[in-house]
Amino acid sequence: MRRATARRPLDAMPRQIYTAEYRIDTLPHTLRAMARGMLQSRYLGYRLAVRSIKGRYAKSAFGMFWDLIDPLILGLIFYGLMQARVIQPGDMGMPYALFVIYGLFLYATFTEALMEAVEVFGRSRGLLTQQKIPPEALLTAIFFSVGFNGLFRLAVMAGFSVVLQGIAVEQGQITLSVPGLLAFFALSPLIIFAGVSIGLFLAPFNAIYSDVGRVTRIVLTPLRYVSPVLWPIPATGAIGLLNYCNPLSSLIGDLRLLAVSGSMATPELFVGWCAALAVLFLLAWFVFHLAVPVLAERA
Amino acid sequence: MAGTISIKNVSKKYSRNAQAHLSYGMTDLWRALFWRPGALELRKDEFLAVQDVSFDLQPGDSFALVGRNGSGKSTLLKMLCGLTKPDAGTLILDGRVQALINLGAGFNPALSGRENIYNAAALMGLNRRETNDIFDAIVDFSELEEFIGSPVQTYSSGMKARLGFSVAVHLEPDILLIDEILSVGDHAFQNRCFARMQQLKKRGVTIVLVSHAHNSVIQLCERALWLHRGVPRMLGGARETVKAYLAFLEDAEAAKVEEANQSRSAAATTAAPAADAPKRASEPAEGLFGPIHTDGGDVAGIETWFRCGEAEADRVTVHNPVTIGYRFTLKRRVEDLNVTLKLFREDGLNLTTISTLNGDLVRGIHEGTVECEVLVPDFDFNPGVYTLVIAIHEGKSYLYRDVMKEFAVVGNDRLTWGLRDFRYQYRVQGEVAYDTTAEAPA
Repeated sequence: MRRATARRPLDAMPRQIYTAEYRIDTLPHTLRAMARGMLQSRYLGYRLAVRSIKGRYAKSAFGMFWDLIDPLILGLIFYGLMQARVIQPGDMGMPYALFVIYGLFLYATFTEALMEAVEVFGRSRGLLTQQKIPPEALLTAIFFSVGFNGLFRLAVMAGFSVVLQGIAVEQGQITLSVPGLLAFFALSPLIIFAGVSIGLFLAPFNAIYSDVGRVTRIVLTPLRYVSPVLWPIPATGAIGLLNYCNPLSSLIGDLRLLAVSGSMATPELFVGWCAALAVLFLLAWFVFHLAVPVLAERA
Repeated sequence: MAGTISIKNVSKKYSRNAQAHLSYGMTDLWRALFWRPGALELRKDEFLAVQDVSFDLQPGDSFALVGRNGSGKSTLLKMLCGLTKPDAGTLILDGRVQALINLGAGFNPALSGRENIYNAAALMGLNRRETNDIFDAIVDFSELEEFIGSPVQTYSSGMKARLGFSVAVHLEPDILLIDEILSVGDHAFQNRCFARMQQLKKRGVTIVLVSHAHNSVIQLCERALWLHRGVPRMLGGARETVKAYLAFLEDAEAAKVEEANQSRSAAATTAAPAADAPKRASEPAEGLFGPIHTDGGDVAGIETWFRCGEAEADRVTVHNPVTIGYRFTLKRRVEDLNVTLKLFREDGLNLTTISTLNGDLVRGIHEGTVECEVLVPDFDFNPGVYTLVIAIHEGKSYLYRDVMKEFAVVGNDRLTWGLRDFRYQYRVQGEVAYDTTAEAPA
C-alpha cells in the first residue's frame, strides 16, 4: 500500500535562521550552500525546465520546429546572397551552407542561453514571490531547457554535415569528421555555458533595471555580424582585434571546425576562453546565489 | 525541536516609491554582495511594514496573525518562510516548513493536473519517487480524479485551490504557514481542509495562520497576534485577541458612521431637498438600498430620529433598546398613507421591514403632521454597519423614500457570527450551561 504522505530526509531541512546580518564565516558557508543547492536542485531544475518547455509548446502543433525554422530561413537567405555573389565570404574550407548552419545554430544556442539567464528573475517572478526556491534550481532549469533545444540543433547540424558530404567531396571540401563530430557533441555544451555565464552575471541587474535586458538584446544583433556566424572574420586590423577579444569567435569558429575537420584553428585560445568563462561563471553564480533572496522581494 | 519557531524583534521595511524601490534594491544588492547587513534606518519613502515583532511557538501550537489589510501579516509570513529577509531581528525555525501562501503557486495553466502535481511537489522539495508515493492520496483528497489529466487552465479557482492544498498537506511538514487561502473552494472542501489541519495539529505540526475568517482563527488557533500598521497591538489567546480586534474594527466603523452622520446633519438643512440639490457625500449608490424619491413635493418637514435610550445614537450595543421615530407634514390630502422602515446591511441586504400596513396604523391620517415612534426593546443585530431607509407611500406609490440613518452596532463580550445574536439558553447534559435570555443590556 502506498504511503499517504511524504517525509523528506531530515538533513533536507536543517534549522533555518533568517536575520538581517550575514554570517561571519560567509565565504565558506556561501560556497557550501551553492554546492549543496546545485546537488539538491537537479530534480527541481528538471521539473522547472519541463514545465517551461511543455508550457511553451502546449498550444503549438509544430512545437520545436519553430525554433529550428528561424535560423534555417536566415541561413537560406544568406546562402542565396552568397550564390548571387552579393556577399563573398571567401574560402572557408567547407561548404558555405554548412558554415552558416553551424554558425547560426551555435549562435542561436548562445543567445538563448544568455537571454534565459538574463531574464530568469522576470520569468520566475511568480514562483520567487510565493515559493522559496534554491537559486541553483533556476540555474539548472536554464541548462536543462537550453540543452533540450540544443540537442535538436545538434541533430540538424549533424544532418547537414552528412547531407552535404557528397557535394563537398566533389569540390574538394570537407563536411564531416566522425571523431571531430563526437568531440563537437561533447564540447558543444560550452556554448550554453558561455551564454549562461554572461547572462547570469547580468541577471541581478536586469531584475532591478529591465534596461539591462533591452541593451543585451540590442547588442546581440550586431554581435552576430562581427562574430564568425555568417562569414569568416578577418584576423587583421581593428576587426581582427575585435575578433580576438570576442569569446564567441573562438567558441563558434573552433567548435564548427572541430565538427567538420576534427581539429581546431586556435585550441589555446579556445581553452583560454573556456577557462575565463569558467571563472566568470563561478563569479556570476556566486553573485546570483546571494542576489536571489534580496531580489525575490523586488522581482 | 522540530516545529519550534522563535521570532525576536523582527522588523521589515518597504518603499512606497517604485523608482526608489529599484534604486534601494541596487544598494541592498551591493551590500549583500559584500555581506553587509541592510540598515534599519528608513530612507526616503520607506516605511516599516513590520515593526519589532517577537513571539515563540512550540511544536503543536497553532497561532493566528490578525489585522486589517496592509497590517504586515503577510510580510511576516513571508519572512517566516524565507521569501523575504528581515531588516532587523532574527527568525529561527526548526523543522520542515511548508508555506501555503498561494495554493496555485507553480501551476502552469497549460499543463495537466497530473503534471502540475509533480511540478508543485518538486517545488516543495520532493523527487519523482516520493511524489509517486503520494500521488494517489493527493488526487484522492482533491477529489479531482476525473479532471487530473485536463489542463489546469480549465479548472475553476476552487479546483486549483483543492489541488494546491492537497499537494501541500501531504508533505508532512513540521511547520505549516497558511495565508488566507481557504476562502477559496466550496464549504465541503473548506471543512475537509480544516479537518486536515486539525489532524496535523494533533500530530504536533506547528501552524501559523493568516486569516480574516475570525471564526476559523478561534476554532483552529490557541494564540493570536494582532498587528496594526506593522506594530503588534496584542499578543494573547486567540479568542481574546480576536475580540479586541473586532471591537477595534467596530469602533472604527462606528466612528466612520458618526462622522458621516455629522456631515449629513450639517448638509441637510431642509427635510425635503430640492430636486436640484447636490447629492450628499454619504448617500449610498442609487440602487443599493432601493430607489431614492426626495423630490415629489408631497411631504415636507421630515424629521427622523434613532435613539438608544434618550439620546440620538450613531452606535448601538447589541441587545439594547432602540427607538426609531419620524415626523412629517403632508402637503396635500393623501388617501391611503402607509410608512415602511427598512433596515439594510451595508452591502444592501434587506434585513427587516417594519410597516404600518400591519394594523393599518396610519391609513386613517389624510393630512397634517404625522408623528410615529417604533420601540425595538432588544436590538439583536450582530456588530456591523446598517442603514435605515424610510419610505412614505400613498397606496403603492412613493411620496418619499430616502436613507434616514446609518448606524453601527457594536458587540458585547459574546462571540457571534452571522446576522443576528439570538437570546438563548444552552443546556449541556440537561443542565443550563449558558444563558443569555436574562442578560441585562450592556
